[in-house]
Amino acid sequence: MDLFVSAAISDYINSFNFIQIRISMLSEAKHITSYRAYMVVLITLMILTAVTITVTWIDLSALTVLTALLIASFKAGIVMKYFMHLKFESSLFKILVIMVLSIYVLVIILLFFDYLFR
Amino acid sequence: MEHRDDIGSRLGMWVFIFTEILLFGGLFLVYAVMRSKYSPEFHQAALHLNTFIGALNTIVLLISSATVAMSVTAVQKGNNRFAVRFLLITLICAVIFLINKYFEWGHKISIGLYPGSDLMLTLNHGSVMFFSLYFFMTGLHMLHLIIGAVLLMVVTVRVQRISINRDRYVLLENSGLYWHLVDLIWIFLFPLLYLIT
Repeated sequence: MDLFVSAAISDYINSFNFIQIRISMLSEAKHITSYRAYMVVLITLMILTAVTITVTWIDLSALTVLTALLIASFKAGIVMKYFMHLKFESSLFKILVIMVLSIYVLVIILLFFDYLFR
Repeated sequence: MEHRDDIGSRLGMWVFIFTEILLFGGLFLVYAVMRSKYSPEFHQAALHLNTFIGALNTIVLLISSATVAMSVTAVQKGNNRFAVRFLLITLICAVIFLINKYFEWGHKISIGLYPGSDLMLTLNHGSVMFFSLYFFMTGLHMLHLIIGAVLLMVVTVRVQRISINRDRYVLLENSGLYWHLVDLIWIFLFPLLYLIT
């Protein structure tokens, strides 16, 4: 009987600890990115800038702009994902960003359909 | 207990950023159409732009973006002194950017290349379009950079006074988001204006 009561009490205390752990986890839900991670991102962006400049020196005619734009989009993606913390935001933010960018791409496509085939 | 909604606050900032993206997006559309129409003229006119200054400003802006992001990390860790230092580096980068722009624009204006100048009237239509877009887009971008820098000055003072701290720093985050937007726009402006020769 005594044993049973003490077991019940320790269970009760454990469940209380468990709740406390849950609460502390919730309050630490925010993600802290390390300085080192930002340095890695910065160096990556700089390398990509150097690549963009070198690529435009080589004459790829029509492909030059396309390559430059692709690299720029990739860089923009990195900036939004890490610097703008999109990686650690809720999916609502990501969905909104994708929607806005899709609308913009759609406008570009519609514009050039009109412009090139008129 | 006060009512706060940091996620809602950041969401509002993002919605504002979307409107900014579409504002510059419109200008990029004008650029795209004019470029497809006047491709040789655009290539010729872009030779007048200084790629070195453009590349330097790209690097300066990338560094400033990284230091803003790091200042958020510092505040989250409760290290406001570090955060102030990071923000000061960002502000120095903003000043370097503006000094470069001053020399870049100053040189063009001194040789008579500015919207509405006598020299511009003698140029072909494609070159006029290129320089008009160049001045308008980099000018609008510079305006955003100045607004962002003023915002970050206010934030720096508040981080210094610990009224922005590890428990409430959404103003720093939102100003950071605005600053990253300035960086984001430049990432596209640089190759499209400076590197198409």
